[in-house]
Amino acid sequence: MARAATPRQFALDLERRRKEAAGVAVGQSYWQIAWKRFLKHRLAMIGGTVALSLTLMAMLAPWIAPHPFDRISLQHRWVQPGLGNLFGTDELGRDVLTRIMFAGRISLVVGYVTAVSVSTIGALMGAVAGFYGGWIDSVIMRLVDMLIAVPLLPLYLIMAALVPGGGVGRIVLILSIFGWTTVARLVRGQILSLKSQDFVEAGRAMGASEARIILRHLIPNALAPVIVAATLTVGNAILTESGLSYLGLGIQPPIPSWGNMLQRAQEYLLKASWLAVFPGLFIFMTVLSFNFLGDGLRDALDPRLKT
Amino acid sequence: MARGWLRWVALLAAFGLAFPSGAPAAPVPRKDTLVFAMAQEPDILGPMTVMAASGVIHNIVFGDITPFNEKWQRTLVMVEKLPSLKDGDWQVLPNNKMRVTWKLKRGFTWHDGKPVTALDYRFMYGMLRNPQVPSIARFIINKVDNILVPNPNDPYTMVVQWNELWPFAGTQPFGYGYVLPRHLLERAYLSNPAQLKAHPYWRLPVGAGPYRMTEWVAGSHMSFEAHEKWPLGAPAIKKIQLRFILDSTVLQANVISGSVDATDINNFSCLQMEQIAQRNPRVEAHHREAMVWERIDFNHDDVWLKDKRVRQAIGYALDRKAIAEVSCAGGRQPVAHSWMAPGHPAANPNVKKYDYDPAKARALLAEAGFRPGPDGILRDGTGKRVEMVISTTAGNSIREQVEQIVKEQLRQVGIDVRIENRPASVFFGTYTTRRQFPHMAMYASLFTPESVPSNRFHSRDIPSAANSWSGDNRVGWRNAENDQIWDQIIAELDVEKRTALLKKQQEIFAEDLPSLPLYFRLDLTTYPKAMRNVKPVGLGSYYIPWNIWEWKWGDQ
Amino acid sequence: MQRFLVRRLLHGVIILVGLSILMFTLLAFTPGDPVELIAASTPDIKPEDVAALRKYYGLDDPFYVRYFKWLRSVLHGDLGYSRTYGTPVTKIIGERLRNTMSLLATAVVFAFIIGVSAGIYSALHQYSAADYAVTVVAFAGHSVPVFWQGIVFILLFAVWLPWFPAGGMMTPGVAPGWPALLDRAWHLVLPVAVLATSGMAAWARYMRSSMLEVIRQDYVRTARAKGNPEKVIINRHALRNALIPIITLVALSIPGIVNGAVLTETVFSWPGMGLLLFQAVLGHDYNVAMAVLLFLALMTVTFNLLADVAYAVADPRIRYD
Repeated sequence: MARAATPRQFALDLERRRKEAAGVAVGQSYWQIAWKRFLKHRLAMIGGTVALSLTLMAMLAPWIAPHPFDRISLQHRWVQPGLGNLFGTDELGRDVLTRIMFAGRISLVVGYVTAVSVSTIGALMGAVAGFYGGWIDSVIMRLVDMLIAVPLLPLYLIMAALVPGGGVGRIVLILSIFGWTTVARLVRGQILSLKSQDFVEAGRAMGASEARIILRHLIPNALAPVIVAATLTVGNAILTESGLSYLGLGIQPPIPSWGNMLQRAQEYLLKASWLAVFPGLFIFMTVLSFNFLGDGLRDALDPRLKT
Repeated sequence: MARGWLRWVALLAAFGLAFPSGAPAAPVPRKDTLVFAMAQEPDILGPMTVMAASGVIHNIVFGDITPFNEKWQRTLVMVEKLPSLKDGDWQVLPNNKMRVTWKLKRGFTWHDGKPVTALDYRFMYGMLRNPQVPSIARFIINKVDNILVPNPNDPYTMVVQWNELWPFAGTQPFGYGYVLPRHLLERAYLSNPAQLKAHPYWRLPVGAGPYRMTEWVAGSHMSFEAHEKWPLGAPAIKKIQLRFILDSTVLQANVISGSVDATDINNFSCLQMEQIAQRNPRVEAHHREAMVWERIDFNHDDVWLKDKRVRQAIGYALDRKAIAEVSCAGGRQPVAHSWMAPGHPAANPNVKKYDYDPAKARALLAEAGFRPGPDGILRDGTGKRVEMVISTTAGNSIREQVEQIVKEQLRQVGIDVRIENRPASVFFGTYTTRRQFPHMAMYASLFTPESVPSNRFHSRDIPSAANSWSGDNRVGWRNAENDQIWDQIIAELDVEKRTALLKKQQEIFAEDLPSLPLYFRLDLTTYPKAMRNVKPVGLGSYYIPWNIWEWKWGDQ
Repeated sequence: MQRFLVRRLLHGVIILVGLSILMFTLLAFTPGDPVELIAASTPDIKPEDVAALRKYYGLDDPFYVRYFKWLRSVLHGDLGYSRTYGTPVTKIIGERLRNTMSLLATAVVFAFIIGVSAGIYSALHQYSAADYAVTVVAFAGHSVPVFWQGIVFILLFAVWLPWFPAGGMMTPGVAPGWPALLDRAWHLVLPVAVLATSGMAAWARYMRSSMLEVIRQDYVRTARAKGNPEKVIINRHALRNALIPIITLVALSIPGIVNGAVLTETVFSWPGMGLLLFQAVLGHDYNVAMAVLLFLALMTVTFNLLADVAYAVADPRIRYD
């Protein structure tokens, strides 16, 4: 669930303030230093490796899955985890490991696409607000304040009831509509601090258009915190999807997702606890690895934190 | 950080662990309070709600005039006898009008001490008949012209005058199982009938049933105390607490741990019942045959499905025995061959049956002009690929499993199935009732031995914009012979003749197959094995507390 | 300071009004309103009965008219009737509020104490095994799905080891007074443990980094250079300053914790606001949904305001323009 949303916002806020104070220098050397620092971050490396492996597993699912996807076998229901079916089989005799691999495709796509769309919307909103200021800024920031003031889950619930369907697009839409505020705040902050700096003034003086200044100068400069936020969003979106699925409003079967596998498994908790354990573990592992990764990226991209 | 470590321990422990089975160690003491639980909380009580959960409480607080017993026979609780044509207290008048005389038992009192009389019945009838009252089920009550209490000195005799023939005029006075107190509701009703639904009475009703309701803590529980003046004998269990535990897994855990004694409307699956029986041997996990008809509706406006052969082919293509088994293992759940449950006295066991036979299905489809395409999926006469949509209520795991089987097995005969589920509010809100489902919709209907579902099958009752979407023939079944037989059934007062007509109707149904019957879902309840006289009925409106005043602990 | 407060208050009002419009509009366009549901379960319903029901529920006006009607009555202190429960919304919310607050407050207090202590310990023993353990466990606490944790806890501590109740708020028929209080506390253990996890994890991490940052500040170094005992340095200088950002953090965490509460209350059948909200949204009980949401927003806005004030009082370096 978006449980970390607010603390993270706070952290990123702290971040922004720090950066504003430090006046981060941007350039090749900065990215190189960041990369080196990232490689030294042990937890981030573990997180990155796990996240990469999970992504590969999901991408290659059709080729590496031990059984055909969604093959029903009514003679092989409720097989316990073992050699034939590593993670056992479910109520229709489908191989759980296979389903987890295919469900991972959906869950990870939800995570990645949400991260991209949230960052894009957020970056645009933040850039516009920060760059233009005035009433545009006020409107956008009031919207942001508004969305930060409420627990989002109820809004997601209403959206889930409102938007028909049960696929990936719907979930991404629901998560993006209210999820962009963190990034918007970050980008706006960056823009505000960068706006007064020389190269923007120079660009203005040289007659560059506003759109060009936003696109070519301001956004690239605000990239670092956005990357961190996007990484954390991947895990968060997966958590939120699973929460919505638990309430029956997420990805709808027959499309498998880790969230809806868990929801189903609940009923069979006592008979087949493996059905609940494995999808839960995969959600947990994925979110954890993206959180490690995001944390490592933050440390790497912020020169002030490590002393 | 102890919690964090605990979670790791928990995770490791949960990892593929077989939990030790057997009973929890502590013995259950004989409690004064019976703890009852449901997975649903009613909105309000009384006739202005449609929720099943309200029905359970009606059984407890209002009692029932003539409840169905466990043998699906009407029993006499609040009336002296059931009027009958033979005895003459049920008369058919010219112009198909009827006059039914009811004798009420004396001695029933409202929980505030006032006696229950025919005037209460007459008041309730008048109130629910009033179009300003936001009541809902008026199907039967609209057939009643008036209720008279002919002798002011005998407020225990009433005459129900019917406008039209109705076969079950002798089992309930006007289609409701309980009565409401005139002295508590009349003033509010007369002053503002349209706002009656907001009256506080519906949150804490004073009934005439075996128990008095003492509190309703919204979102948590209700409490009841025995009505000592209940004329059928003071209840042995003095207090009941009814808890609302919406998550069926949590409810199950409560039953297993013994903190809940009895459940109904529990949303348990047969599997969960199995677990309960295994882990708490003190609990009776009861499976009762019921009249809950699970089926797949075909939309007859579809070019493919309007052809009877296609519908029949789908019938042959599906292994409905396996489907019934997935829904409830152990061969307990009967496969349905028509809409009428085998326990119904008019059930016809000799209708056409569609046993699993994919070859026959393929032959029928070929006969109907379908040819396989290069991908193994059929093409119709115009070359269109046969892809059908099946929908059900999203979140119902059994139905979603059945959909998977349907998809797989129809694929075997060359029909590609796409699953598109809808939330229950949409599915029942407009999707089925306004016939928006393109091909197949899977859901259940509840019947009783007195159901005359002509509005579900008669072509007059096909919902459309023209008739403001009234009627319940959601498949759009048009069959003249079937229409005619329903017109007869509805007006046939003779039980034997009606039974024969119903049997004939089932033959027409099974041949024409407007919907594909899947199975009759069992009614699942739990209660303590040590509790005597629990007799689950398994019919809508009659839940396990229907005879709760008779319940007692084994050694009491 | 005064101008700042007035401005923040004004912002708060704008946020609340904006939210109410957003919520109301979204709810109004959600398909499957209560009348449709009643009509669906009563196939023989007459069109005139449907019309009467629509009128009864006030659904015959366009949504903006309904919004203004709603707003007017709310401004008069009338939150309306619950469509589902048929009682005034205030009455229902009052009951639920107490339940949620007992859960939320206990969880927040526990999370704060444990999280902050762990964070401090971790910061003071940077790079020790304990520090790593705290970091990893805190990350884990962040990453575990709330409801899954709830389910696993029920499985382990209510079914497998029957130590705690599997849900609900109290045992029926427990004598009032101490036994009832103890019984309540007993029912609180598992939901609080689940709900507190995320806050605990977040606050431990931020306390750690906040503490680390403070320790490196000049004034702490100065204090250390002056030869003050370590305990005094930590207690008098470092701790106070490190706690300041955590105040804001706690305030900002409230919506996130409420999210968790919706799920926790659902898993444990805890009759609180979260469960109420979930049911109200699904059951189209608009008045209840609106009231609960606005209450939560009001709570957050107030907390933010308080946090700002507290921040200003605690840290005189902060200026307001």
